[in-house]
Amino acid sequence: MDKARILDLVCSAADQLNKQLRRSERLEKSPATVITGEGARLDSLGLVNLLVIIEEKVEQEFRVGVTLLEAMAEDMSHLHTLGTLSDYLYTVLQNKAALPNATLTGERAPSHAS
Amino acid sequence: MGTRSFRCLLLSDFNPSNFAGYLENDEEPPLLEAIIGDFGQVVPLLTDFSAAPWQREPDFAVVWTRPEKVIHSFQSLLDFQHVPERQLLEEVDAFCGILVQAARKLKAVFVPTWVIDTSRRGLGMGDLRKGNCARALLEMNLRLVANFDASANVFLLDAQRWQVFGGRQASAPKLWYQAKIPFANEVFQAAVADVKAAIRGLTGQARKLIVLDLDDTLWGGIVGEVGWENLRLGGHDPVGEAFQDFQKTLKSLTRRGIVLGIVSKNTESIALTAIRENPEMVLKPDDFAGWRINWQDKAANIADLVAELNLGLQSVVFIDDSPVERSRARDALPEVLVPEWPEDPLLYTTALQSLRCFDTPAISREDVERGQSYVAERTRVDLKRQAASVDEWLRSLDIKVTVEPLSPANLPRAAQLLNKTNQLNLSTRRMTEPELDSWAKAPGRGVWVFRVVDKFGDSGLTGLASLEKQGDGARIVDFLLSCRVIGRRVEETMVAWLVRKARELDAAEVRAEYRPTPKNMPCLEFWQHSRFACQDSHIFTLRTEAGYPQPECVDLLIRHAHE
Repeated sequence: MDKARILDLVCSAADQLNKQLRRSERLEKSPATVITGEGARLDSLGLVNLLVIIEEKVEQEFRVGVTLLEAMAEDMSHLHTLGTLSDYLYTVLQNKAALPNATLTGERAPSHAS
Repeated sequence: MGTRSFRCLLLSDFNPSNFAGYLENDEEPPLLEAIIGDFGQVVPLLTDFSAAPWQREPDFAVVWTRPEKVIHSFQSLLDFQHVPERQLLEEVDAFCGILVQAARKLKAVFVPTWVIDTSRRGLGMGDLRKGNCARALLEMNLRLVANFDASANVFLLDAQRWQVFGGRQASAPKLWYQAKIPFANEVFQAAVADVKAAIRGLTGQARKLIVLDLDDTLWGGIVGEVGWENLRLGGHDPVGEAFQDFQKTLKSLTRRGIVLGIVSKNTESIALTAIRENPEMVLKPDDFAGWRINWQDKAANIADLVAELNLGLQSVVFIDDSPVERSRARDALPEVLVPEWPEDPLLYTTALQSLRCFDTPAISREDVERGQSYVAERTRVDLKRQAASVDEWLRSLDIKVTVEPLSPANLPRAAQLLNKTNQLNLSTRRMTEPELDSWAKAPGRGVWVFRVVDKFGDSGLTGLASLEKQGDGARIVDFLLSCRVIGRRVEETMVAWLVRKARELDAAEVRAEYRPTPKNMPCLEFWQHSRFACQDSHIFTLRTEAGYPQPECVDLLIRHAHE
């Protein structure tokens, strides 16, 4: 896993979101694109949609569940741009990888159910 | 297709923003502007026409509710409380009554069938037994069907199909808890595709003609190389069986009014021999309205065939296994729908059945007989070639035209014709059944429909005309004729009838105003060659005292409303 792969995932989520946004609201697929705070193009619903799409993509690609909504409660600066969101996601996934029952290779870790 | 757009009101008991986004961004025609009603206010908004969304005069509405929210008894059932079936169905009836009333303000209302969260199992094996949720949901949906059966402009759309597109994630708890959106975006995208297909079906934009390639499209193999005896078709062969099933599906489409044609690079005699002689062929020559089997450019052949069938290119779907031919047809004929086609013949039938371009509100008798009417037309053309003159040919056809006033019996077909006819159409008004019925009932107006039959077959109800008294004159408001009967003097017969009716209304002058569209040039040409005087290139007038001659080759029969 590298940062570029995570940025690609975030940008492809933005691409998917653009299909339901008005032309004037669509996100440019760039790390510098502001998504919250001053100059943001997304409203709160757009942000929720973006985060849910990213969560689904992470689930499909890495077979782990993440909850990005928590980022809002922790520190809104994580969600300032697509780039900061991507960095935050990278950190979350690295932390997940450190857990014994999660891998980020696209394979589910072996179950140890009793 | 044209760029006509409509306004679509979205009423739901959930946040419809994602649905609205997809609806507005979808580039498939027709373009739609979404008007969003406050969510959770479905019934109040359906009953208060002074509310803001109604002020924007929507053309259509999608009323999308969840059963547990709109039918309170159903929530009780979900909570495993006993609810008498009668109580449940009475609530459904009350909701339907409100919907049908509101539909009078719209061209049509689309109601997704009720579905529940796909993860809910209820009692499992017992859930379809009487008194339980899955059973109740089926009965409630059937009650919707029964309630809307009598309504001409309320249509149920199958939301369960949309859930399939959403897969395991069709219900979206994350979106629900954060934004009050209960479904995954794939569900909304499938819904948008179906709503648009329905609007196309109602506004005369559904496709009518499938033009097919032959080799490796209708059968496996190159007939010119392997011979008709060795084609892969039918038999104990998965590929042959798949081609035969594809033909069976095409044949079934002809029974609902879709016309088939062939455009193939082949030697005509070899290809036709295969169609006639191969015992595994489901489709026979009489299943095709026409063909162009030669070595010329396929795009030119498609255009030529479509012109022969008096259809527009916007009516056509072209199916070919060759990506090169598909690309050529798309470039040369952008109005023709050329779907991407699977490489594997085992997927052909699924690809055909997945096309959303044939949706229709109902199948009329004319639809059922359309394919045969083209075969009859081919016979007529052959006769025309043999006849010494056009008049002699027309006389030999024994054409009978029956005129009758608009009535409840012919209203559905009349509205269908009004909304589908493009080429010989004076004003291209599009109206729903209730709108047409209401317009016709006003004083000083008359609407008539025309049925055409000749010795080769019954073309059915193929013409419609209307007249409105205006001052001391009369205006021909609608004048439209199906392309299937153009050129048989039915047009003149209709004009003669209208002039006669105008005289009965004491109108001194009859006036027809041509309203141009990208497709109705044939109508202008007809009026330019009529006996009417032309003013400003698009207004045609005639003094009624002059009368208008009824063509000798046509027998006009008059049927009154009560007959």
